[in-house]
Amino acid sequence: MTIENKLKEKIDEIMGDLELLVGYSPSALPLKVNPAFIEKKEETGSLVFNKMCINNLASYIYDLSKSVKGTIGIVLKPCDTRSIIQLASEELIDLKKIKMIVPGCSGVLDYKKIQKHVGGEKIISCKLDGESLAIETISQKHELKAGDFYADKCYWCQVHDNPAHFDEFIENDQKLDIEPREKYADIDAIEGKSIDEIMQYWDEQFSNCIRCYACRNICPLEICRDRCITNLDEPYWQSQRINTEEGKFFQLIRVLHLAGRCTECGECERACPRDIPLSKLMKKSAQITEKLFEYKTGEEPDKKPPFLTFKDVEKNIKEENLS
Amino acid sequence: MRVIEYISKENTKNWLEKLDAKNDVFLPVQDLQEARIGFLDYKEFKKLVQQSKESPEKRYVINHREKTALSPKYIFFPETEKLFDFEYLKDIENPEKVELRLGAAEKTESSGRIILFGLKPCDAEGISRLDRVFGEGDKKDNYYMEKRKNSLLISIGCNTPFPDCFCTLVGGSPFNFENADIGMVEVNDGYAIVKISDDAKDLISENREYFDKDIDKTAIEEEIEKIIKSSAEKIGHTWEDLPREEISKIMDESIGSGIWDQITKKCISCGACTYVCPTCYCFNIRDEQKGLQGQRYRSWDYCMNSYYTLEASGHNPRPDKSLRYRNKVNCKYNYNIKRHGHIYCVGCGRCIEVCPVSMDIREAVKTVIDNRQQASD
Repeated sequence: MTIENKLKEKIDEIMGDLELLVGYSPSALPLKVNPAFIEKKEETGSLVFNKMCINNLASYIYDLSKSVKGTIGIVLKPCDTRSIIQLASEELIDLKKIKMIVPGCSGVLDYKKIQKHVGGEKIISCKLDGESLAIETISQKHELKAGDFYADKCYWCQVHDNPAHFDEFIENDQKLDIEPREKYADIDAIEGKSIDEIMQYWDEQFSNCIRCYACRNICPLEICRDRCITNLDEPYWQSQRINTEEGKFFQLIRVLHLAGRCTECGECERACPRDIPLSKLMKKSAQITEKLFEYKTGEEPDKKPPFLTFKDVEKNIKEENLS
Repeated sequence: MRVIEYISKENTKNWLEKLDAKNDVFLPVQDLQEARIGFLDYKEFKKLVQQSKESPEKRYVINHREKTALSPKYIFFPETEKLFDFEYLKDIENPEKVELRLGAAEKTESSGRIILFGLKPCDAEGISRLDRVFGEGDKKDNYYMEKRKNSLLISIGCNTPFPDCFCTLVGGSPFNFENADIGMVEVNDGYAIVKISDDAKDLISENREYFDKDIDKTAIEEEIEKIIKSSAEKIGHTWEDLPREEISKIMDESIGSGIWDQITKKCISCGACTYVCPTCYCFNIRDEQKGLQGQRYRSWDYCMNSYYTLEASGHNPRPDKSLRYRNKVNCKYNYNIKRHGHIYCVGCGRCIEVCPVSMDIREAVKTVIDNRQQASD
């Protein structure tokens, strides 16, 4: 039985206990899926779970946990559960209200990577057959190997068939089968450059920023959304101008806001309509906080995140080195 | 469609080169390495090609078949525009006296005309919608009109539309050259010119040598008919699908029906869709002052933002995404029909493409229409 059918079976079994189920449904557009919100048992037939399910549905959970009274069932890939656990560890959501339904994951395809491979052209059709991926744009056809186009996070995934936290886990017979990659390779490549080159790289990237705040609004941890400081008039922290400097400034605020919180789901980069490689910034910040505070986000619901607590002496921060 | 002129692809390059000498030509450029497609000044494009070290012809190409990521509206209506500088002058003798001195408005440096080449018909349509907003009535927007009045639109029809295209649903077509100064159709190994406005006549008459003299117009016209037919079939949506006479009324009636809560469940209320939209025209104006000097800027604003309607009292008439999205769709399919007589959606599909959660304005409009039909059944 396919994982999709197993998942549907499980959902049908527990649907009676749920007020709302958040899952994936198919999209008419190639390589995409739709987030689906299901209240009735009869509607579960439209659910899907496949390699296009790159979205992290945890993005909706904070708002839903405020508006929905009963239990919310949510379909999460094993890596997505980290966002829920992190929100719980910050006491932003109540885990008791949430049923994490976690199918084992065999990896998800990143349509932006595919689009980048074909020179930014729009993909008008896509066929995935095992490992072979047939892509069509209006001017060319491509036969690709799916293994090259998984989401970055898949290449160092440790949890695809053993999530640490779940309410229902559904074993996937199809395992993640891709060549693992070094997680920080792209960060190391950037850090190998001079400061000027690094700044030039980011200036080029942020010259594309249109400040639409898709990165902020899709982030499962950034629950500030409507209360963001970039919108404030008093104090007027950030200029309303849309340009490289302001884009960079906003993003640095975002990175700091998410330091020790980001669960590296990559949604910010996926949501960016201008394809700015935001995951690199988030990954760097996670690398630093993990080392300094020996804290990995989204793993322990009962452990206080480093910036929500206070220690007299931080083990890895030497005061004499601060100057 | 009647063919007036024909130009080969090779000669199109020469023609562009010639146009660029006297005007500012913008065209859709694909950066294959960075995988970005956007409108670029031709001079900028040539500079990039010169600068790029490794085989530039493989990195930058002119590609009018693809849709640019951003709509070309920013050429006339930039994301951020300085309106003017200002300065407060104080009189040491008389501290109560403060004089305000305004700097001159920003002038565009261009001496010639702005020519947009390779524009999609839907984008030309989008610009015509903005013309009505900024240029109709007795209060005209000088900043926009200053750039726009000296501009020409050269539109190329879409032989192959995309899965998210729906121009035919909102009254357009992949070969609608109503708003273009020059309309072109890609055919055989060149372009047939099927429309030339009076303003654009000199672009051709001054460059006669590039246009083929001996062409079999009937054969090309037949070819064009075939192209038009196959393109329309690919889009599928037609004008008849949308109850155009009633759409305003249907939208009005949808207010308060709860249907918008259903439609916007997955919306994350970001501004991606509005910022890529060719017809969204909202902006915000701010004085940014340091000490006694400052500038007045205007920048794009978006109605999906909570601060868009926040009132000074602290009250927000649109506190959640369903009301904001309802406004967004109504602005296009209702309010602006009443205000300017047109649907303010040209069916380019950019909002559908960029949406990280696959919101689809076609589905939203359809849901509203179906909902009313169900209610009346």
